[in-house]
Amino acid sequence: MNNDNTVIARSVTDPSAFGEIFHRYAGAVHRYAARRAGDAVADDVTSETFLIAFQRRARFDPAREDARPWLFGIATNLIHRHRIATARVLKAMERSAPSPVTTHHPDEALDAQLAVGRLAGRIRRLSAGDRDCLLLFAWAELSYDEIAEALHIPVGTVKSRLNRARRLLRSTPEEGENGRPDLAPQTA
Amino acid sequence: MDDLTLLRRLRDDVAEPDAARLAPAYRKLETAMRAAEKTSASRSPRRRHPVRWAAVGLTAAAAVAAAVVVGGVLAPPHPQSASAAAIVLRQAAAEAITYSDPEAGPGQYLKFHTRADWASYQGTSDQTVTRLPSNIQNVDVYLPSDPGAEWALYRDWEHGQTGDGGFVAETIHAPEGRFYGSPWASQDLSAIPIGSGAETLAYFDAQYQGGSASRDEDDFVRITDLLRTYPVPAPVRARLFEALALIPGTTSTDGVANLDGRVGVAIGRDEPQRSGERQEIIIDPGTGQVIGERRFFPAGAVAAGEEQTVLTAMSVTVVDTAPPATTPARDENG
Repeated sequence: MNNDNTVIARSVTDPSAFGEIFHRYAGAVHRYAARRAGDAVADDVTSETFLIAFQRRARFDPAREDARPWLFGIATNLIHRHRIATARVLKAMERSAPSPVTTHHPDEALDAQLAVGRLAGRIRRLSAGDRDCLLLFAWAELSYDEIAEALHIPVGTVKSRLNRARRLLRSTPEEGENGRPDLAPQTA
Repeated sequence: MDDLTLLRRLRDDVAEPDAARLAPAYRKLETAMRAAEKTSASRSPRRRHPVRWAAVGLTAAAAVAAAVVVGGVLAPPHPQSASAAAIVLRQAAAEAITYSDPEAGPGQYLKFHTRADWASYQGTSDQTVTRLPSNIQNVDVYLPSDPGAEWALYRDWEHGQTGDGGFVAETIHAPEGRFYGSPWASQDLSAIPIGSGAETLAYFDAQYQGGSASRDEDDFVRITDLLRTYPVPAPVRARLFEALALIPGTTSTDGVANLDGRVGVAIGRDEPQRSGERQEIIIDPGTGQVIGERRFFPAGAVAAGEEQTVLTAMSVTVVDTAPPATTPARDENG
């Protein structure tokens, strides 16, 4: 099978060849966007991601064999336009978890549900940059190098953002970064 | 459970979208691609003569027919998006692996039956074509369970080869299916790698020797030629389906009936330089079986003002005997 860079290079003179890139990755891009912002937003993000990528295909780095970082980078930027939807998804997960104050049932499933709610709240409180790195790593399954490529930032920055994000995820409900109490929720 | 594991499970229930969900996005991309095609100054459209394409043919038997065969009448295809085709093909691949193919026991034969409505066109010296009366051809290939035994090929035309009753039926016997000199299967199945669909496609792609309107078209045609002329075993068939899913331009059309009325999904390919001509195989996505083929020619491709559709039906069964030979095997030229 041809690598992505070969297909994209061919699409410069044979535009229809770009359909193969859609075929390979549209499902994954849609799923990533849907996990972050819901199905309706994912429809728009997927459509626009591939249109933008198609328009920019001549500028795709021919040394890159894998188009995923490029596509997920475009999709991530587009998801930023849907902050309300993104926050709504995370808030819905927070709300779906029972309140730890009113619930004392020692059931494992319930514990897991509580943990999910807490986690969603912490993701929502992350900065946009940290959240992008974290979700590209965990949900899009990109490597550090690929996240750097997707977001156009140094690999070192990716590592520091991921470390910070994971530290915040592990913190107690009352603590934020560096043990400080969480402030009001940031814009998602 | 650590934080990363929990994070990975978060909203893990969100599945990849189905074809219908992705179709609008692909349509927008397709529109952009077509617009770019039109403005591309580097392209010089090149069409192979449709008659030559038709001569790719179902079988060697069809190739020896004097008339070029095209025909049948059906609604023109309305292909869905490439991603829809990919989903159908991958589903069919999964079903093919789980579905039990008919298996010939000792002394038995696998009978690969094809029933085809070609309708025939006869070319004339003044460049016009004349439609011959519609005719049905039956082609049965008998593959013995014993690899050393002779294969059998039975073929008939219900109204004679040229519609005048001049040829009714014949049976040819030959080892390895060499009824016309070369093996019946267009590929050595044992040489096809089946580690993954990508690997299978790479194998076919490496065999490209030029020709066709594009390399992708050539890959598509060689894979579908094998699928529609030979009862490819499920493990190989599954990889061939996956390979087709990887070829740019592959599309699907739901609800297409084969010549016997059995409904499946037609897998074809939009080739920009083909002006709407399509070669498709019809598969049953529920079993991963190939149940027919369809070829569509827009008006003007074969006959002025007439759209043409070739339609066939295929099935595989196990039988205890093959019909006796009536005609000796021939050389490469029939």
